[in-house]
Amino acid sequence: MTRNTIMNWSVSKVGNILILLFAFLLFAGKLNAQNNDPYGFKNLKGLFEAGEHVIPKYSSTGDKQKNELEFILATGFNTYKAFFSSQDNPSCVFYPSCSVYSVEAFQQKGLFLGTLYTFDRLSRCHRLVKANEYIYNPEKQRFYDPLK
Amino acid sequence: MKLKIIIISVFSLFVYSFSVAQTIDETYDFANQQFRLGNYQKALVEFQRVAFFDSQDKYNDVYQKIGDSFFALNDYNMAAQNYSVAIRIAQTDSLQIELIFKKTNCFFKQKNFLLALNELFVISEPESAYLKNKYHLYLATSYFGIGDYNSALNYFGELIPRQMSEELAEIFEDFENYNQRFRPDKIKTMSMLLPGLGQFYTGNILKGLNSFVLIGGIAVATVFIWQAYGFLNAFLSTSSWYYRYYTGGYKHAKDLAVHKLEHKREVVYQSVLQLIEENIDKVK
Repeated sequence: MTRNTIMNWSVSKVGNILILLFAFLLFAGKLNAQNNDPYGFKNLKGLFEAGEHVIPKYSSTGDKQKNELEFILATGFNTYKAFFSSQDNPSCVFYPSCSVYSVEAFQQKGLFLGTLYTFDRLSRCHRLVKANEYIYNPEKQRFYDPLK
Repeated sequence: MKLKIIIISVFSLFVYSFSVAQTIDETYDFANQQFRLGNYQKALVEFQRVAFFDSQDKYNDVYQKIGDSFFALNDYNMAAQNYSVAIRIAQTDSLQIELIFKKTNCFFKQKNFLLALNELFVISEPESAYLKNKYHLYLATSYFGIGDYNSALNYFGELIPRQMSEELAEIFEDFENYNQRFRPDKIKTMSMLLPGLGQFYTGNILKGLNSFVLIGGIAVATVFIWQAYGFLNAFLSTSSWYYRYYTGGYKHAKDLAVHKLEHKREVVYQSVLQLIEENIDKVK
């Protein structure tokens, strides 16, 4: 009579055991994955992330090559934003702000219409703005007035 | 005509035999499957359907699942509402406490730490070590959120071994000193006394220089106009500009200080959380 030792096991028996072991490890892994954060640290980690304020910068979006006028406009806008606007009180009642609106108007409508759009926006930007004509964003505390 | 009726009847019976409505169990399984796959909107609709048709209250956890779906969709108000329902119908104390934590998480996400604290006060100190630790962790986070750093330190201290409390206390002491050093009102006053000084103090050299040159330039222009055209002309032409950039300057200095403190707060919280995450299992 032969003794039942590991050495006597057939290949199929060992194979079955290996399959079972693999299935067990897979299942155990899943169980572990479900319980690896019981305290919810993942949710707590990003709670106090400080926001960053980035000054908008003008950059050409069109396919056309940059010309002198666009260069002057871009330089003027970027200088105004970096040197003057950054030191100013937040006085614009709209967003995008008048300067951003103006650049967009020049980019999309050209020099003549862009100038008219800019003056139109500047004439509307004051504290007596007609509130029912715009959508108010409480988070930004400003009225939404995009270029149309 | 008779033949027509027979054909229609047979066809109807044939269709009926195949068209079986989805059962509530199938809907529930399908919703769970959709949730696991990350289709939260679809999962939400299906869970709501289960809640509506489950007249025998077979699926008690469905409101929790609806809350989870809303939470995953970043609708924290609706998530909190559904967790409230789930809390009311929860069958065990531990489940109720876990649901309160979930509801508290909704308020955390909305940065409403006072409301989170109010929610946590409903819980009486749990007996199980795991729930007790989690309770202290959430309390500490709420106190940290409302700026009560002493209470936050006390509760965070409960989550690490005794020998490490000194390290934690040092982090908070350093944070307290930092808060004192960059008090927003102090920075604002500095920029009121000398434009740009507050910005310099907070480490923003370029912004400080910008403010100093801009306001200084307006002041120089005022003196020139005063000498050339008189005081009234100088006052009328430059006072509004001066006011605009002077007040803007010190308000920006204050904002810079607030930002600096917010950054420090983020760093402190992250380091405290890491310390706790690494050691919470060692607390008996």
